[in-house]
Amino acid sequence: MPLNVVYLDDEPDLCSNFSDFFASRDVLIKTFTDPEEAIRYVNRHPPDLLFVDYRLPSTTGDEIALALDPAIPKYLVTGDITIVTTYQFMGVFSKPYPPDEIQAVFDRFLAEAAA
Amino acid sequence: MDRVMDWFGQKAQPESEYERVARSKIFGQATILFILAPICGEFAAYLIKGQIHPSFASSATMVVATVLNYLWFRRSRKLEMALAVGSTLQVFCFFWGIVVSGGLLAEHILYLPVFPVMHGFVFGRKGALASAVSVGLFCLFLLSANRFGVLPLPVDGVSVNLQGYNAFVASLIASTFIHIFSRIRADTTRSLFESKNYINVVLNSIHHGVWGVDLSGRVTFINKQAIALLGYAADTELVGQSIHERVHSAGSGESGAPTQVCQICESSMATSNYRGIEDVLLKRDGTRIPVSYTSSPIWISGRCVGSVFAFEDMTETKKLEQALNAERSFSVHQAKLASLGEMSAGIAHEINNPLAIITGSVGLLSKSVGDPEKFFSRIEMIKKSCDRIVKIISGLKKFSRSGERSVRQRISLCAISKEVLVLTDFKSKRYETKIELEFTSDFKISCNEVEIEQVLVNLVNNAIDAVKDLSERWVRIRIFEQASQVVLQVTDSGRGIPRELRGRLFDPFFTTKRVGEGTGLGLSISKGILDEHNASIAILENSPNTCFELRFGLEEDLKNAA
Repeated sequence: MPLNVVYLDDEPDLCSNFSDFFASRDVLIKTFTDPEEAIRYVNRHPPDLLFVDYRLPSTTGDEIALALDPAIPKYLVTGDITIVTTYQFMGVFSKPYPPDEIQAVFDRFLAEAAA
Repeated sequence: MDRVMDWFGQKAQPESEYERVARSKIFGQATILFILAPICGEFAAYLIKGQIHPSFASSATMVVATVLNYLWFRRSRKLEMALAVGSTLQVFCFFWGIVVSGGLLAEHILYLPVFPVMHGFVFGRKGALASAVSVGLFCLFLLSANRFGVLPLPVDGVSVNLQGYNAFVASLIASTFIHIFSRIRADTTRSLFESKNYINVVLNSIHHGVWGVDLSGRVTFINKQAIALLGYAADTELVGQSIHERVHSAGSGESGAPTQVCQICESSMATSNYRGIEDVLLKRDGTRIPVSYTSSPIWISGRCVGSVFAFEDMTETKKLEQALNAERSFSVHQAKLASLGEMSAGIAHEINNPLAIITGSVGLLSKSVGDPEKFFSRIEMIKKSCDRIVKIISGLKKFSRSGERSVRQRISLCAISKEVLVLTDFKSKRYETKIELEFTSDFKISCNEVEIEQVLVNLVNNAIDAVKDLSERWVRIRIFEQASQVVLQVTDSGRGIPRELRGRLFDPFFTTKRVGEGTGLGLSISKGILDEHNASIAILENSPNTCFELRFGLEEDLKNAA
């Protein structure tokens, strides 16, 4: 089973890069720049993993995480130096993030799924 | 005037320009008397004798010589010499009149009482009394000589007795008149002298240095404060000296300013007032003192005779100004750092996003080698992200420039506003506040770009802070021309500032923000910056929203173009 990943960021280029970089036969990536659209999609199709940017138009990654199913593993991606979040994310990646670290997350989840 | 001083037992003072003018006036009056006296004498002789008298030639000579003497005095201004010549002419013409008349005439005797009057005018009280006594004694001699028939000169047969008696009485009356006149004049002189002393006391009590100069720039008087400030021991070291040569020097350079370009020299000869002129004076020991002076012409009888200068030592003021400027620069820099600190988180975010695109795209380039379209699309993505970072960094670099007093340049206010939008972009995004920039033309103002940018960043940041909790959030920057001024309005969607707070808005450390969110220095520093630019800042009274209005002077060439 491929890993279903949702990436939410208001920067279209970052979404495109994320998808181009990590999408593979084992990792299916769906990207969104609009938070509301992402929420609607995630509620309908809960992903295996969610990556969300912190600063989003009219909301934050923290608020998105709180609004979604707590069972979905969530990672925060941010360009901010320091942020305080209410939601307990599984991890926080600072932009520009090293691709290896993201890939390591995918690998771990793929391994867990295989096991 | 020395004689007057001696009369009262006072120490003789050097005659001032004013005293010379006063004596010159008296000399002018005496000249009229010298002219009228022989004319009247000859006319009286004509009435008595019914024909022109032989002494007419001497009288006419005296009139002409007196007029010439006075005209010479007007050119040379040599008063003492003119007085001596005038008096000598009197005596010479009197005796010449006796000679050309062929003997002593009764009319000559009538002429004698005029002498005390004339000499009183010219030589003062003592001269008048001496002249009156001499005339009296001469008349007594004539009366006695006539009685005993031993007159040395022939007479014309008219009663010398009667005329001698008349002359004697007239000279007594004249001497009494002169005595009274001299007494009044002496009293006036005494009161003038006392007034002068009083004026000296007043001048010496003034905190400012005061000096007077004549038209050639030579010191006529100087007060104690000026002597002390210039490091001299007594006024005698400066009175009579050229003020330019002794105490004036250029603001820069080692040598004094040439007389041709010396403003003090120019002021000395000017007939108008100079106020608040800043200059540098040279002390006796060679040190320089910055001063601010005013000068006014001195008018006597409608004639400008020199100027009076009052100056203030600006050394302490300059030091305070420097300290204030340093303090202000420090405050401006501190406020700028505070703004930078506030913006730094947002700036980091704004840079990290394109940086993430760049690193991601670079990593993907190798994967796109086989797909030229994808490859160049990634290159374009990298370039676009680099441009974003460059724009942010360049705005930041300019804004964070140190508080140096950079030269003012003609800068487009619209261009500055656009850079402000870049610097405040993150904050506006963060609080979802729409920022609009409207302008009718590319107005240029002469300004320190960094400082004006700092003012606008403060205003826009404040505006965003003010509306961030409102449902309607917008900030509008409008630039337009009104009444020959460039007007920049920063309006936000807020409902204005309470009237009771408006008066304190520009006070240092006054803030309506929560503790830790504002220094309270932004607006006071902004006002200071705008004051330095001769610009104003005010809250627009009749706006339904909160509106800060900045007014700048419109550049001349822009006005002409318009």
